[in-house]
Amino acid sequence: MSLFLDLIVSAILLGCTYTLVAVGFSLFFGVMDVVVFCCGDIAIFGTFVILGTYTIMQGTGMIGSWPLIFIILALLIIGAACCAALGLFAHRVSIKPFEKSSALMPLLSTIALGTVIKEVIGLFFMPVTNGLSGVFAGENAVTVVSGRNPQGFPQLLSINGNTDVRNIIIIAVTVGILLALFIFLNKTKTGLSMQAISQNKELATMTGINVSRSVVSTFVIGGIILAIGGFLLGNYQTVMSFDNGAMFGVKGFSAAVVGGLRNTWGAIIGGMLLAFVETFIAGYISNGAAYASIVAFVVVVGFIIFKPEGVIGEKTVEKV
Amino acid sequence: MKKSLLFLLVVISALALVFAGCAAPAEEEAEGDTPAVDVVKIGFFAPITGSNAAEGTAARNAFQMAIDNVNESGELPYQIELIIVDDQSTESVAVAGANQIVADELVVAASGFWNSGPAAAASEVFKEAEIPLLIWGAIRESLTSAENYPYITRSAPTDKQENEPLAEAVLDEMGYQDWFIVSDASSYGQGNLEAFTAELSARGITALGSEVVLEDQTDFSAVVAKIRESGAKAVYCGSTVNIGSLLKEQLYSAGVTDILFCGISGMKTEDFFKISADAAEGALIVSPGIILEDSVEGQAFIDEYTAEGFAEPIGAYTPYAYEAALILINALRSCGDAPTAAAMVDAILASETTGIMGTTTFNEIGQTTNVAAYLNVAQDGAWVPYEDSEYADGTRAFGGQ
Amino acid sequence: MTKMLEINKLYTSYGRIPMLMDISMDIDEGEVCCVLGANGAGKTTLVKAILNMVKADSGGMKLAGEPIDDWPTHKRIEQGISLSAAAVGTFQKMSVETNLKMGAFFIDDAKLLSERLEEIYRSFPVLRERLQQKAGTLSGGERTMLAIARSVINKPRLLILDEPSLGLAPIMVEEVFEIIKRLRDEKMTILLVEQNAAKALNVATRGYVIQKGAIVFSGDAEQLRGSEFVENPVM
Repeated sequence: MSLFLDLIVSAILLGCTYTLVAVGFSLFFGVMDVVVFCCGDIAIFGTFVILGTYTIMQGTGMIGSWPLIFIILALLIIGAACCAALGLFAHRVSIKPFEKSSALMPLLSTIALGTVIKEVIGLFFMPVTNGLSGVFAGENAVTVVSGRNPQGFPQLLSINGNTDVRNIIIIAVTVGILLALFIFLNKTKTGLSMQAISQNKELATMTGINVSRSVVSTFVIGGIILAIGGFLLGNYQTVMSFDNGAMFGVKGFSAAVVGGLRNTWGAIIGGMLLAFVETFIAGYISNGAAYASIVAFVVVVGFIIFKPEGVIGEKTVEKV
Repeated sequence: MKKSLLFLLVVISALALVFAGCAAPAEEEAEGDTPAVDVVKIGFFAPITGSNAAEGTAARNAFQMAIDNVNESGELPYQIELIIVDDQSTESVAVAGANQIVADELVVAASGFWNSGPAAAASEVFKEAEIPLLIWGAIRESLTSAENYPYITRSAPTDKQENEPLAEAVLDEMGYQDWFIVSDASSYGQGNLEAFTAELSARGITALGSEVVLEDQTDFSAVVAKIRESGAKAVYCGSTVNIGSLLKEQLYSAGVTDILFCGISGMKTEDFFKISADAAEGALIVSPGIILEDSVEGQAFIDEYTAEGFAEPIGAYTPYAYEAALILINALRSCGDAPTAAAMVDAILASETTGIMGTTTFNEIGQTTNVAAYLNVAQDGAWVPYEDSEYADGTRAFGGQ
Repeated sequence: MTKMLEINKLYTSYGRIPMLMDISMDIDEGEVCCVLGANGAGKTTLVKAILNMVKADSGGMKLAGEPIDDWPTHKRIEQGISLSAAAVGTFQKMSVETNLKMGAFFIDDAKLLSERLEEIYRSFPVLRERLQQKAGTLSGGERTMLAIARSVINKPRLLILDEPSLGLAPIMVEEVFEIIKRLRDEKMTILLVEQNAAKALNVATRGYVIQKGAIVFSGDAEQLRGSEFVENPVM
């Protein structure tokens, strides 16, 4: 494969992971008009929940004896459930108390919550597995020294180390999730309510939509998407660190801004655009890693200044 | 009223949380019920949290172990109290901690640093305060210099001293010609880049490509694509374990396997094996010091460290942190009942300490004369000294040959 | 005749500023009752209080004799209070059809829903032509039609129209009031909140005048026309 093709594949894969976080940002922003800054940390929390569950499964000997697809599904369900719960918790402690205050408050409080999530992973990931160390006295024992160390993520999607399969699955799952989200948002009452709140909260209230219940659904849906994003990132990146959330969050947020914060479909284009810019700059410019971040940042700022409605956003008609 | 109070509380706690990562929490570890007059203090720096936490914490454990031993023995007429600073591998945190330490009148010396950047930044503070700083784990060559003499000393080899034996092995003995060099943007990465590039130029080799990556970078797909494109037969990674292990894994995942992966001691921790054993296989890493298991003192250190039950395994620089404590204790012995920082400056430079890795003395710029390094290879998910590995006896072969 | 809505001594405030004071009013089933008042008199606050989008400090409210004070907004709407507010607009990025369906949020029966949609298209033919168009691209008049259509699709027991003529060209205002007349003739109970007293009194049987958050006058259409509180009763 040529450098060009290599880079395209890398960019698409990276774009998939950015996209899922960006979609999380735009869902939350749409429904609550609040930038939930701990999205990245929620996703990483999902990664570590999945990792921890996998470790426990390994200790009990499930890995290897149960079908792989069942294990992956079980991991995803547990990760999604925990992330959904964390999403609800985030709403309860860092957004709901500030409903009546300025938008700056939930911004600050979600940044703070992100730090808390990060540190909690760093502090407590270790005891959970160490406490169960008796179970791991086998050959395949996983040594988790500290939650602050980088952790290898089980390569469940690479069949016999073949990453082509993994790459296809990552892309397919992302597309699948986005399709499911599309159907959910447009065909179900909960989804339509979420869209309605995002477009016109006052009118949505007047239509009889239970806004607080929709907010809860949004956090559940967002949590699930972030957990899947975390799972895919773990598979793509192979080694995860408890503090990856901030970087992941900033990238996702930037992608969402490029896509026009409120626009879920823009988030996809934003995620891909960001990933392509970063990958190609890093690929074609010598020592480009630093430039990649700069250019990505310039792209984001450019969008904020010149096209705040996002890459496919329409200029909204001023309300009467 | 109540509401605004709550608001204030929330803002303050939010700020506290946001900036918690930037503060310098210097945890003082008091030693029992020693009378205050009979105490001298030693500052200690290591990255105890953050991505280098494994190395930093292990070094802290070892240093503390040595100090505890001498305190318990009652050999010195006073107790040594440690002021431990978690530098978080960050310059600003290190400087804040250094300022805190030099402000304490009981401090007679300090030791520390796994990262060269924070070490360089804090060195300025110690020079200014005329308090000796013994570096055990930061290897940027310029840290010990005529300029920093006599206050800054180092018991570990420099990046140049580490890269030399690696270069001799991979360039002279194995004869690799087609190189791609990856380093990170930190002081450590730049030092390694310079040191290894110098070794290449000395042999008339120009690298096919080189790439500086970011310290917090996790996606190396573009670098991997460049390495593949360059047709390099060997990759040199002058960085720490986070970057090293990810790069190795991503090279492996992308199918770039017929290639030698070699690098520097920053990668020689158990953390490297967070990636799968297959992906890690064949990484060749130079490590400072001697093979501990081969010496009586070294084995005794391993046994004692293991007996203490520390969670963090011994890393490449853990023995150096222990050795640094031994050197400082040795210097204190020669300073009588009331050691001062000024006396310690001379005492450290004049010291001759036989610890677990041979005898350490310091040269005219405060650099150790006890330079040793050996090669390790990742074999079946563990670091094996190259001499004992299946790569040395030809059972297995490195890629790119 | 049954009282569809009864409001008894309603007080609301925004922070420490009183917004509505001692509002008592009632609307009979099947009548068009109007609330007149200038900009900022408290008309919209009253409408929002009826839907519990603005919390009442004190006072009571009954819908067809049943106290509704504890009902949250969505329950009041589900139980048959519908609001169309021109100032609030539409769901701009949704199609006209989806906007209408959002109005029928509580209709779960697909067959009933399509019947109701069909009725709406008969009453508002202009909307049928625009079904797949995004609401944001409609003209002002069309948007008002859509807003009214959306609020009548679930056949509310009480329809509240908040300033339906706001910002419309005179010819469109005529058309909107034609629709209100038609709804009146279908015996829909309507609370019409308007600045345009002349137009409102053409369709309403009875009304209240609100000034600075309090009712200052009430009576039938004829009495209101003669009242000093009604500005420009005849245009």
